Amino acid sequence: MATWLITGASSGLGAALARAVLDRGHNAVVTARNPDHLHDLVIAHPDTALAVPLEVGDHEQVVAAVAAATDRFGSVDVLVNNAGHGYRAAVEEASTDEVGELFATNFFGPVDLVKEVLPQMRRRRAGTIINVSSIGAPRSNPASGYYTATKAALEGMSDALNREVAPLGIRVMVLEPGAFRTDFSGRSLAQSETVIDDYAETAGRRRKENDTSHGTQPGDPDRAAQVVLDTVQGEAAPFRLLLGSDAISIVREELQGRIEEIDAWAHVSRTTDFDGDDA
Amino acid sequence: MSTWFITGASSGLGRALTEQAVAAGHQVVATARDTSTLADVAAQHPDQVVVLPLDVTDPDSRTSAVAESERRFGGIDVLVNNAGYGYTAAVEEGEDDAVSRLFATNFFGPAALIRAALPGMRARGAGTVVNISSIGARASVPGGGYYSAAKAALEGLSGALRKEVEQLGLHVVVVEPGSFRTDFRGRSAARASTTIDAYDAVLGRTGDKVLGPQRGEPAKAAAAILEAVQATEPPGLLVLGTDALEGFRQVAAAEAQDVAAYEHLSRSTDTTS
Repeated sequence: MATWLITGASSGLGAALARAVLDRGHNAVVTARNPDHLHDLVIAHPDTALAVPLEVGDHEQVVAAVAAATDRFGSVDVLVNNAGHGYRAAVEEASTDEVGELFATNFFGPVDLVKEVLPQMRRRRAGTIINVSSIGAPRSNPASGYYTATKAALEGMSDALNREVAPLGIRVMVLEPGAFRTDFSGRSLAQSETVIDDYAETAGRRRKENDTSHGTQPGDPDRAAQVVLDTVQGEAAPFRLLLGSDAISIVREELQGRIEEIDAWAHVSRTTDFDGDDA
Repeated sequence: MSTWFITGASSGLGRALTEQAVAAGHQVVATARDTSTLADVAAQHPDQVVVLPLDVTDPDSRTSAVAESERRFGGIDVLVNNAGYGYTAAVEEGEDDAVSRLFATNFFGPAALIRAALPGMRARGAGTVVNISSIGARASVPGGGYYSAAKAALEGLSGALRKEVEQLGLHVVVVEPGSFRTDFRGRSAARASTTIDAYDAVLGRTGDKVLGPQRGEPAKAAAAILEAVQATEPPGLLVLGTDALEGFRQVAAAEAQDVAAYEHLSRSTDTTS
């Protein structure tokens, strides 16, 4: 039996993962900005679920959440940085404050949690850190530049982290879900206050798309939760795990596209080395 | 002839790019926090070069630099976000202030400069944004987590930006240099002031770590960037150096292999499967 700390557990993938973890008999420290939304989980699993209020961008709350988890269950064995939200804005339409808040929730908060659990994981020479990214990290769409930036940052940091803690017995995983039937397109999606007409056909179109795609996404959060749980308990796990057949198609297209892009200019790429003797 | 606005122009790639853009007949707004080393370029080409002090993290400094460029040369045609530096720290060692400064210089500053330059570019229906990233955006190393994060963020932003502005006649070029013989390992490198012993080995802090020679020549990199920007269809992504090209291909191949190895699991989460 392990203890999981899952942020953003009040809905979507986080809630599905919390249910799956608790149903298999593990402990789960479930967090949300508003812990009232976690009530049902705790009622159903009074001995193994602990609800903690957590705004991941708030350092005091991060410290308190990890301390509460450790006090109650003795350790945090699996950290799932799942809390996060979207933000629709053309790059030019964004405001400094909106972008700052987005980075606090989607990047700096998760980093803070990682730093908070690492000392105890290092002591035990065991632990798993799961950072929930998005298929929006490898593929950036109009209006999603800042969201993509936060997720790409999370993945870049995780890549180094993985290399740093693997020798210490700690595993790091990044999840890249495609579109799942969660509240992401609804409640979890903020938009910029500023709207510029020149972007009506690009960013503007995606603001509207958002109104219609909600509820028809292909991914099943409960199935994703089972896959994550099986993978964490299994022997082999990839650093990056895609969730959903749409995610597979998108990553393959992106990889293919990038290779074609660099091939087209490879003759120029090769001209910048020092000549033979200089090198 | 066009007007280039180059950040971090006082040394390394920024300096080389400044010299070559001038040699190619362009007007250049050469910016840096410390502009003292740019006096010679400005003196040699007084009609073509304007040197401006710019701290990319300072909103007032950004606003006045962009306004001055418009006053002197009528607008910015090519914005080159080149200013940036490295920060070596295990993720656990990252210090809040240092990480904030790193992101302010390597990501939030460039993003704000893009927002400042775009209205002019949109009004003219032409312009190019060049974001200098790093092959480190794609493949991180122990100790490089925060640097990779900031560069990956810049690339992610650039991807969306391209899709937003191409219909307006603007271009976005991401440059991923490998290892170049610049000041990057010297003056441009910061590191964690408090370290944790557990990471000494993996970060190579035990014994004298010997870094291989930097294969890249900044002047040649500048020439390649000039060629890319001046192309009829500038590339969205320009990798610089055989080391970066090799690294890029390796990372892409490894990623494709992982996708295939776990494809059955990835597909099992669909509603209809």
